[in-house]
Amino acid sequence: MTEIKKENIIQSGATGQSTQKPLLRVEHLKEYFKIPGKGYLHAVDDITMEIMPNETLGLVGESGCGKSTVGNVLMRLLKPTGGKIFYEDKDVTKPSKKENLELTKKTQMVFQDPYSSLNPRKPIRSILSEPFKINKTAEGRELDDKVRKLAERVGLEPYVLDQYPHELDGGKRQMVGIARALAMQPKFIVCDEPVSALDVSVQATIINLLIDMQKEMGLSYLFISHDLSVVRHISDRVAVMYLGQIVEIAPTDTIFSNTLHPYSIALLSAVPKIDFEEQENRIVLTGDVPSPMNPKPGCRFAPRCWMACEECKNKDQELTQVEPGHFVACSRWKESREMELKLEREPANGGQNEPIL
Amino acid sequence: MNRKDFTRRMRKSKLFLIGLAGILVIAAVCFLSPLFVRFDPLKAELSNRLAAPEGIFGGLSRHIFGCDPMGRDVLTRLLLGGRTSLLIAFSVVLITTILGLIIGLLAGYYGGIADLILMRICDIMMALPTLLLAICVVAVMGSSITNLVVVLSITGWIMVARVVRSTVMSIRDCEYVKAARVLGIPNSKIILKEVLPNVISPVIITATQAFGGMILTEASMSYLGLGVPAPSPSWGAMISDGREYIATAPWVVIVPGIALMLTVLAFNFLGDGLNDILNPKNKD
Amino acid sequence: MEEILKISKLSVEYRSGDTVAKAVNGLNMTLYKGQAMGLVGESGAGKTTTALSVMGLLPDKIGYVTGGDIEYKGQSLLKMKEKELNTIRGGKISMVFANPLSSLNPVFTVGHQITMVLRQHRHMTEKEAHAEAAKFLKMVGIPEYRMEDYPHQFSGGMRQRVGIAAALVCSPEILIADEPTTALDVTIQAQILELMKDLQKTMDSSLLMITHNLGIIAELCQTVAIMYGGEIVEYGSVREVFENPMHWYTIGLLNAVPKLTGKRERLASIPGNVANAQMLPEGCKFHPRCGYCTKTCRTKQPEMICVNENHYVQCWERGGKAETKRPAKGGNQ
Repeated sequence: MTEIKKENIIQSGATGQSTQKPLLRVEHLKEYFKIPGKGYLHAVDDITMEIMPNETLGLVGESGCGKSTVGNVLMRLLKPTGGKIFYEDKDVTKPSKKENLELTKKTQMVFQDPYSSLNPRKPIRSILSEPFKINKTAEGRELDDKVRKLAERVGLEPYVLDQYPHELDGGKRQMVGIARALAMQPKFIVCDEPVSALDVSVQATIINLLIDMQKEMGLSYLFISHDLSVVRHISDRVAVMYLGQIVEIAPTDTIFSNTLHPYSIALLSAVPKIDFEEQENRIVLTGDVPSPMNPKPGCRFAPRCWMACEECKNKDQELTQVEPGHFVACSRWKESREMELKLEREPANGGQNEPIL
Repeated sequence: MNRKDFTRRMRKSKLFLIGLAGILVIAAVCFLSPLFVRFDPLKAELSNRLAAPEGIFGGLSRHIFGCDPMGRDVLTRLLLGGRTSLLIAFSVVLITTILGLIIGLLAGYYGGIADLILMRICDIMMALPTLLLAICVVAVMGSSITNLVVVLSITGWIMVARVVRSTVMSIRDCEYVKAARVLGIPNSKIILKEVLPNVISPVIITATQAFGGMILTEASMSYLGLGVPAPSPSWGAMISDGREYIATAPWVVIVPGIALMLTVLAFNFLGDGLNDILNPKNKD
Repeated sequence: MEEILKISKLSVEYRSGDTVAKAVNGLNMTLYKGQAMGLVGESGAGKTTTALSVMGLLPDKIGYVTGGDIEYKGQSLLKMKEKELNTIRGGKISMVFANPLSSLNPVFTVGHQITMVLRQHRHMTEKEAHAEAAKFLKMVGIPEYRMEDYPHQFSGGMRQRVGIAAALVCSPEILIADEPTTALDVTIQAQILELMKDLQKTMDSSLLMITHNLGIIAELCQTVAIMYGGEIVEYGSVREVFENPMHWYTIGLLNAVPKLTGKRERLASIPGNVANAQMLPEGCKFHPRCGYCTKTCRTKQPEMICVNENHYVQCWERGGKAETKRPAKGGNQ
């Protein structure tokens, strides 16, 4: 991560005011699923964000918050219910066949489960040949050559090419998954929980590989994960999602040092920490993430928030800029900051670690 | 699973080996029978009416398994009847598998309305009694081997379609199918190259297990006179012919009965054996 | 301190057909009264197998204890008859499983499942058991009126709380928790961890926490045992082991985890893969992945060395020079 890049990131906000053109822009994206007899499940509800060239945007949230749905919509696996998607300033919400083919080369995806993301009936060579075959970019010996180089690039030994997925361990399989995504030299990759199924020691290898590939090829990532420390490690900016909406988005260092949305604060505080100095009073949220079925107006987090007032419960919260590049969807963010500061100052058994509803 | 694994597992499964051997022997004997049978299966010879078996040592020129009420050699009719039975079962299984595979693939992969319609058709077909359908077809079109195959196929594909559909639905949600879509591979190719290879094993298992069932259904149809038209030999018809003489000349019923049982058993063994071998959940 | 559970030289194998997987290899471990101990390791390290052996729940005809002993207060659990074992299992030693959905029986109400345990172990009447069950559910934050609900009507976090209540209801002396929060979200995980912390304090029971998450250990446990290839490779107080790790595997593991604070540096990955229980290497099980491997490491099984009274390590390289601390070498670049 170079200094120049950092500046770009700080300038680029959630709604776009940067000097550089975003690679991907999403405006008011909505994805509703109809559940017969129950109404609509608001998986993604009005999301606006940008991803700059060569940037990693981390998307964190708990299960069911819609983060994977965002990835699937961006990869055209789902048709958005509303909103617009721009790729390099071109509206690609409803791509034509030709545009779709072009996008396929430019945008790719790495999946969560390296056990189900590779077809068990195909040898690795055939899995890695697919992208070249489909785009008719190589055949015969040239294809063989390209596949071998691709494998080499992600650190796979050539003998792996003749093996079947079940003969490989999780880390190697995920390398194959990454190689497949890189084949067409894309510019943008959605990484949907790419390391959460892996062991800790293997996880580090894959994270390093993703970072190396980004440097080498100038990639942009949308890095979807529930693991805050992994997201912090790899991302330039982080967006926190709760029930289909982005509640806070900021450059990584800012969001981790100056967390403002009560949900982000609670999420961060919930992570078990290895460093003993880091162990502090924990904010324990009571209750579970509510269902995203037919949500009521007002802040989605209000029912679990310790600062919620009548207004929060009735009025929708808008994502507003509170410092350059830092956007929060909470009208009481000033108070939450004060509370956080107080928390840090209080001794370990101060009243704040009581579970608060 | 690659070929090496398959061969190794195949060698280990006793059920599979017994079933396969049984079927090969039965099929070979039945299909090669025209080369060595000495009697006319159709020509009645009343002088031999219900002649008793003359034992294995009688040789092929004698009636090893005796004669039926029309004086025809039971062994000859058994072998030629077996040929018909196997052929009918094979054609039905082939037709139903292909039909069921196509319908199941489409319904399972695309889901939505296509799935809904196809599955309701399945439900209707399942509610239709096969025998009633057979009687109607025979009444309208007369009894013939072709008609029998048609009747059995009309009802038989549903099983296959259901198995394929549910397998496809679980595969459809696998990430490698998503990955293929992300790569821009068209649906038709995804179905053929990504999904199909993964449903082949359950289909082979279902088809093998259905084979035995088809032979039985064909026999019961023929027993009722809805199947292979007389005087062509068929196991069901042979049992039917002998049922009145079961007390006095049991061989007329017992011989085709045992043949039927052994054949169905062999196919069931093969089916279960294949299930052990091909099912990825049975890890070794 | 009173020894409550002592595992000595435990070896467990899984056999299926011609393949043998040596899941646990000569494991020694002692759990004291009131102590919370963490058992850390990656998949296939033998953590769950150890727990199942203690509970006598190894899969029938597949899992075999091939050596060693497990003693509960001096009584051998392995030599015990099934009937005796049943009074201890669930009563004195109980377990919380990783998957809260599959560990509860879907056809009984939550209340019924807990009262059943009480009636079995504490011989209570229906009425007493009901009251006691309600008390424990309340303790884990589930109101009494939900006792008549079935497991599927609960969310994942609540199910795990029911699982914990069911495990605690007989006031066990030992609670074994096998990855109790891996299936849960972080905020829910925080709820469960706080709950377990409180309960362990108030009930003075011993806890064996099995997890791959080092953070959970740091927050919940006093001692920690690091497992690799079916053995404990390093053991000691959590602070001592995490702040001054000795075994190269522990060092690698600690360096491989991204942190929430501090500088974002390149992660040090451990090359190669988790040891395969079907083909364990000679000598030190970790040597094929170790950057400091010597000839001795390849051939001879290291012994547990005492670094100080709070810290033990099983590593040849650490032999006489336990005090020298070097940065982790290795990583695949």
